[in-house]
Amino acid sequence: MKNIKIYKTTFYIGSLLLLVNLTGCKKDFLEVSPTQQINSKETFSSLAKIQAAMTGIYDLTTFSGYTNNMILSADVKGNDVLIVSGASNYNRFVAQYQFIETSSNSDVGAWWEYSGKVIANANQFVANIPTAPITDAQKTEFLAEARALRAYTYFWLIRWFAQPYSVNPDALGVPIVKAPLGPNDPTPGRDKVKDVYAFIIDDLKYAEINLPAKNTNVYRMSTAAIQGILARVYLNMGNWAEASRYAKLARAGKSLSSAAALLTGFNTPTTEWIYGISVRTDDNQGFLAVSSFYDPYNSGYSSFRVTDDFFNSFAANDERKKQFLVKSSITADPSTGAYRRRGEGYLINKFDFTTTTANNQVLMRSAEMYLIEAEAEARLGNEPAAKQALLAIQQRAGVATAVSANTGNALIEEILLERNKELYGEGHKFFDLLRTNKGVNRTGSTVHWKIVNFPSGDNRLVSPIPQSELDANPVLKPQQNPGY
Amino acid sequence: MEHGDGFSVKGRGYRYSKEDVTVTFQNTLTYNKSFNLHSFNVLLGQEAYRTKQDYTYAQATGFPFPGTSELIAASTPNTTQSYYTQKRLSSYFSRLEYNYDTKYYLSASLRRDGSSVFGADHKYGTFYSVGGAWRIGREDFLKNVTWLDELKLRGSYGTSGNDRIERYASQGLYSLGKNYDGQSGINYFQLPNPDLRWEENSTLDLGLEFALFKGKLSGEVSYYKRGSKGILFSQPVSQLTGFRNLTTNLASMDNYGVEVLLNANPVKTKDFDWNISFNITSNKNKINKMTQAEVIDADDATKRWTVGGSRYDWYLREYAGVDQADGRPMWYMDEVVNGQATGNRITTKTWSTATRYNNFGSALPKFTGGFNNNFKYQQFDLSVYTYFSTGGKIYDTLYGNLMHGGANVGKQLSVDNFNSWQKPGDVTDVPRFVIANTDLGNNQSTRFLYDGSFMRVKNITLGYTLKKNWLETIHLSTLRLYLTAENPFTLAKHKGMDPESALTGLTNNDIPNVKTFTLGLNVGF
Repeated sequence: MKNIKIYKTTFYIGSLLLLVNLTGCKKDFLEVSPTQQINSKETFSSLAKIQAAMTGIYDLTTFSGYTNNMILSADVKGNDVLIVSGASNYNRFVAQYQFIETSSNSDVGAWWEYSGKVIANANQFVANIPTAPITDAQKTEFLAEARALRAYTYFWLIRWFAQPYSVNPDALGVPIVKAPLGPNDPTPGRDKVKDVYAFIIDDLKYAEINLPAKNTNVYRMSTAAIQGILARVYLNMGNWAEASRYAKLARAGKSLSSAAALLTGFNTPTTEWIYGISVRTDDNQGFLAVSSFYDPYNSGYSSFRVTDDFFNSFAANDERKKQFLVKSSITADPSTGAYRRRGEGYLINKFDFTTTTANNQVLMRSAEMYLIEAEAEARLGNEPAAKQALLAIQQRAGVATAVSANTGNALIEEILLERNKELYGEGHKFFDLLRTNKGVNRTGSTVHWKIVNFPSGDNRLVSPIPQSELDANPVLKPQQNPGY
Repeated sequence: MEHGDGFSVKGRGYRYSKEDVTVTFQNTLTYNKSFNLHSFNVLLGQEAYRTKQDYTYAQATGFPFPGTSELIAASTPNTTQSYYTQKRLSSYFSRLEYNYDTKYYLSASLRRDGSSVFGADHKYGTFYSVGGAWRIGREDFLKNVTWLDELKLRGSYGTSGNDRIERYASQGLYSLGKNYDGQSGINYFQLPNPDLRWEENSTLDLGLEFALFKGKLSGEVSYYKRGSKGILFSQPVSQLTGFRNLTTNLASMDNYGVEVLLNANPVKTKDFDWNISFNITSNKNKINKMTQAEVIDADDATKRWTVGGSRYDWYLREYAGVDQADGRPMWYMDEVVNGQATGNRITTKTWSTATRYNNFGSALPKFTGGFNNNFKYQQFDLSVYTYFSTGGKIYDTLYGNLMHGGANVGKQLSVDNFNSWQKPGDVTDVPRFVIANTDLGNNQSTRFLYDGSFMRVKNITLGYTLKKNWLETIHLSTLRLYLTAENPFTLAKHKGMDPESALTGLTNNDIPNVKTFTLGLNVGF
């Protein structure tokens, strides 16, 4: 009887101990951590984590709705390229092409959202790197890389969401966010276009000086890439001297590749690549890439075409004209290549999508730098220098052996046309029309299925700030771009 | 030829394993005591809870020949994925129940719950309830009222907590696996919210229950108020933070109304029995407090939350009909001159510039209820159940899609497109029809907002049960033959979408309530 009582007591005490062990008597019982994420407080606690956080920013830019989408949108809003809105295109880029985006357009929404993400991630570096347990040299390097990425993102933002610098530098730009923005912080309003440009230059100059020369990976920020972005920024601001200087710096170590590379060199880096996005088979990029929309064989979306006017602007002996040779099928013999016009513009074979969907995306080539230099020198009145730079591009394409005979405005127009031919498919044309105050005019085109005519400065040439942002940001709410 | 998904990569196969394990450790102590006319019941308890999810996924491509599916056979491994998440709760609770002479009832409870999902200093919440009832019918002064079977007054108030959010919702997080160019990467995945705490839900219930005339009539009248404080909500934030949303305790609101329930048994004879039941509930919603002036619901942008408003009030652009001159759709917008609102409203043909207003009523019905009849005649039984809802507005997205006016060439159209504007002077509310229409006439606006009131016969069942003595000869205990019609009739103000929509008043892509007819036989051995 007594034994039973002891057993019973032992059992009760045992249960009680178990209870104490398992439960809330321990304060940390309710402390749990995920395994797929780490706490943001720990991110800047070691070199390995900081390196991973930097890689993660680049990963954001690979999102198909972001950089790829912006490049394709800038092409389709220019005059040379159009989209065929067939059933298999699923209405992609159709709003951009017709200039009918609304403030709830999801593509425009993704540009804004992902820009916000890149800026927020870069700002985490700006805020946390100074106290991170790494060497001073490493700190400077990370800050330089983060600020370069931030500047590159702002350069996209300011060109989409505000009037061009060349139209009005005092117009409303986009909000400058220099430090991490918390959910309870006052939301920022729009800063002036010129202030955003000054902010971009400030970041890029810091990065140019402080990014180590060893960083030469073409898939990440390098000194050459930063100088190239500076050349673009100055070109948009009309600061021709700096644009030319930086264009030369950016291409210094990046010689033009061969003429043959004009037909193969847009998926894998050639000597002239300055900056690009790495896409590997394990990145699952799928079908929403630039190469997929430009593909002529219905392997991808295959819905982009060039207009007859643009096609006809290539000389017969232009090496780049071969970028429009399309075989009767993917597997056909190369000799059966022909220019194919399907009643809706010419098919394009500049990018290869049929070999693999994992195509690296070119973002900057030294060919562009030659053309920036040519244009900037021409506008400065330095025509011999301009013609030499232009000749480098024309020579490689096989269309000229001597410098151009044009002068003055005719020379500038020749350079701009050369830009179109060299850089279509790489996201430049729309912004070139904006910065040169030409507007977008498709009047008279027989190929474009939507005729538009927007003079420089037109509201429709500026994208709407997404409604979701306005709804959550009371300061921005009254600052929507006019016309939306 | 082989075909299908993954053909181009010679077959794509995956295996995954997902394991959910929940362990609950509960200790309770109860104590019952009755003496004289008093009766007590006391409960004390403690509970620890842990649930975890363990997940592994692997995928590969490049299978050698059809029929092989194990991953070892594939030549190229692709995605692998794994995670382990958990949530823990720690609770202490107590309850007291007391009654005196089965006339006066009192109950109270108190509990303290800790949940791992909340911020470090806000893991615990305290919740309680009190309730009482008075069976007036049992009082001596009503003992002699023979037509009164039962009269009971009851009231209760209680609070409880809600922690149904993502398991790590309060923590600032960087996500793994954001790899680039062959390097492992991480990026900012979630903003921290250390202030995140329990959502507290309260329920106030006051009611009078009665039964009269030996059960011929019974019913209940009650007032309810369900309040929520610190509602857990995915609050939209400026995307310049790097994020669209943050889980916060956004608002406090009340849902309240009156509910009346009546049951009657007007006829009851040996052969015939008739039961009627009727109920009606009024519903209202009011937002009392918010941490910011207004919020557009991130999951449903047709609603705007403001203090004093209702979370179900529609917030839409207002359709202003068709311009007789050119057939283009119009909407209203606030007139702005030199940056100043004039207070006037003008029309616009650009949908995106139209102003959104919120005076179009609510998706929440003013009244809902049901009407139920049961008949029994000898071996036959018949029941009819009717449901009604009145005063709510619904938005017919599907109809809107069918009214695209030529914007989506090749997509289905409603025949109402025949009423579209065709020449200057046409008076119609359907805008012009043109191929590749870019007028956006069927974009979200009050054009497709309708009165959602409806009445629906949800169920009619007619049955026949065989007599017992017939069945005994074939050794069966029961046999009933029946015919059921579900949703046979609907009377709706707006024809088209199923009026029984979600509380948001929006058409979703759910399968609508279908008419079903069933002939059945129930056999018991």
